[in-house]
Amino acid sequence: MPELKGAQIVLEALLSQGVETVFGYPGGTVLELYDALYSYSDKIKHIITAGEQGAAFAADGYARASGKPGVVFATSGPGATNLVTGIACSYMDSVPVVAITGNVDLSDLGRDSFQEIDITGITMPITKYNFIVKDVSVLAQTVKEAFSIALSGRKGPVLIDIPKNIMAQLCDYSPQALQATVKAPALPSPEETAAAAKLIDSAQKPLLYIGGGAVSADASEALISFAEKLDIPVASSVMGLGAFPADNPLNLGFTGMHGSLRATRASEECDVLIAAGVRFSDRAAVDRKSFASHARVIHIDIDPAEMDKNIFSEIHLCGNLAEILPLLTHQCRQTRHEAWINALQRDNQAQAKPLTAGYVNPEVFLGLLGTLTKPDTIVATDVGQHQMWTAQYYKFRLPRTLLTSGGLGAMGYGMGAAIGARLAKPDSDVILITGDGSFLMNMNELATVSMLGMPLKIIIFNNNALGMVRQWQATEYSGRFSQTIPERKTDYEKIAEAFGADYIYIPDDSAAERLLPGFLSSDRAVIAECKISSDEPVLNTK
Amino acid sequence: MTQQLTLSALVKNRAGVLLRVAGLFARRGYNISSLTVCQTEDESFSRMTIVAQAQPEDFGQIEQQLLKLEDVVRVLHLDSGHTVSSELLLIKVHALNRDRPDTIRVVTEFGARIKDIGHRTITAELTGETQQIDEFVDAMSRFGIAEMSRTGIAALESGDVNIKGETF
Repeated sequence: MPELKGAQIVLEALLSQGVETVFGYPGGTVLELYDALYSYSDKIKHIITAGEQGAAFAADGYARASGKPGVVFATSGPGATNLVTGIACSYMDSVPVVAITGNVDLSDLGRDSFQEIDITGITMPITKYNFIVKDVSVLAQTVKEAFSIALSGRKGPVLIDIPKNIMAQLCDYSPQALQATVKAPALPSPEETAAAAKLIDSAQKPLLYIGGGAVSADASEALISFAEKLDIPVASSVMGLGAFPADNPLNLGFTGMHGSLRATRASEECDVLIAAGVRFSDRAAVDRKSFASHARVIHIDIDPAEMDKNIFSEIHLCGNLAEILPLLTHQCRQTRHEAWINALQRDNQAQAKPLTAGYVNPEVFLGLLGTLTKPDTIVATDVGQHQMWTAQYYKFRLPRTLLTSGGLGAMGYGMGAAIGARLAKPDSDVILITGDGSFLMNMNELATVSMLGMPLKIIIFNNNALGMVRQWQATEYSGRFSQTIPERKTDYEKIAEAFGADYIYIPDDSAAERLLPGFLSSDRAVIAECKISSDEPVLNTK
Repeated sequence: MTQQLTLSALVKNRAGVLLRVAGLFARRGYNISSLTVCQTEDESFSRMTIVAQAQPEDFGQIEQQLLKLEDVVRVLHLDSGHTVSSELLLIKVHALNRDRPDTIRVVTEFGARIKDIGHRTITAELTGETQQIDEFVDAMSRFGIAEMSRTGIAALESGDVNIKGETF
């Protein structure tokens, strides 16, 4: 058996997991790791970002777009703490990410040494699990276990903290049997499945309600077969968008605070709710007491702890959605629910939103964008009004094409996520839709975009305001716009130029029609600044 | 109305496991009355006995959240009918000479033991079920409690079974 340094063992173990791309940022306690990486540059592609937060978001975007785990490296102290928002984002949206941080030498731990931080303590509530490795002989096994945990059951982030001297120590390394074992969840019992099928067969007004779990389980085909055979309308959470095609006539859009009225109405009026890969978050099921209050609920989820957490359900089907749904499709009768579906389409009184002249109208713009992009185009968003407009008006046709910080709602997520996604899917077009507020949070990653020569398309909805908060202040705080109209003097054209990107300005809908095709076909990174009215609200759609 | 929930958890004996369990209870807002950790017959596992106050409809959710932790191997809901439980109390009360016979009488009545006699205090020890200990504390309080320490509950399922699902 060859003797390798701990740092080399980390890289060998990553290769055993099939890792090809790593995001990260070097520093004092990961010098050994980066020195080892120097010799592995033909096998592991390391992308240095402008900051560790961007690296964590990139690893997250990489994982969401590809379904493979994302990997991120950071040094101790501030390097590690800069990862925290990204790790929290992955945790809230159940994204498999493995973060590897350096720490000070074992003998310096607990002495408030330079750049020493208890990152396992800090990340305990936002990781599925975390490790601090104090013995080099368990390092390879720890990396394997980290991947197993990140990918098994409900996916999520895992952190491994490695003191610097452990990375420098020599240890025997044998590569056999290091591929992570992903524990497959058990299927529900035949009795449970039969009870669910019987309940679904008895329904007059069934509703299939899907979420991020449907994307994570790659259950799209199973969902489509199920919904079409049984003629069941489909509502989604924001996290579930793309799992069921937006252009399928059974699709009602997403429920909740900023969702469609017909989806919300369906959730109120349905008699049987089949909840698949959802956790009934407060944004999707706004009032959990009244959500689906007339329905008998079947909850299908891979995480047993989601059962009865926010909404009580009559039948629990724990396990892999992509395996359970075909069983139900097979066991349930073919049905038609024409009257129910037609009723949902009628009489929804959406607030009329007049088109604002002299501005880009988000609905028109995003509708147009959807006709110009390919089905596999990946759209990353930041957080705020632009995010909700994108969820409402852009037609997501395939799973893993929407990357958005759904649970954590982290502004600044999109730029890193878009970079990660493009590295995972180099043949897919990647668009970042952001706002002027969110863009400024991680625009430093434009440096990474330029470094990689990435033809990222960045659409900034510039309303010169922190629009979503401003909207709340308009309706809930009688227009006292506290700190939401910053009057910044940002020149986006100069930013683009400074970072080596192109720039276009889109002042209104007709300019959008004229400029979007060229914007999308450019082989360079382009920022499109869209002029949006600061009074433009996010309203529920029909 | 909250009720008492007693859980016995078999956990991996790894660094930080107590913090993980305590942290879970704190962030989910479950109220811990007592928590004991101890070694088991197998050194790779520890056993935690957790007594919490919660709404009965949340009992299942608490068990599931606990079970979701990577280090938690098994969780057993111990209801009073099928449980052997015990805790230990040390209590120090004021006991000047004229009060001593009274104090000693109460200690003896409850089957407690005197562990230390000071110039002005007596310290007694009692092992028993929670209710018995509560009653003893109540009886001793009339002398004036100087300080006390309780271990919290240690509990096992009654009968010829164990938490690993083995039957004997």
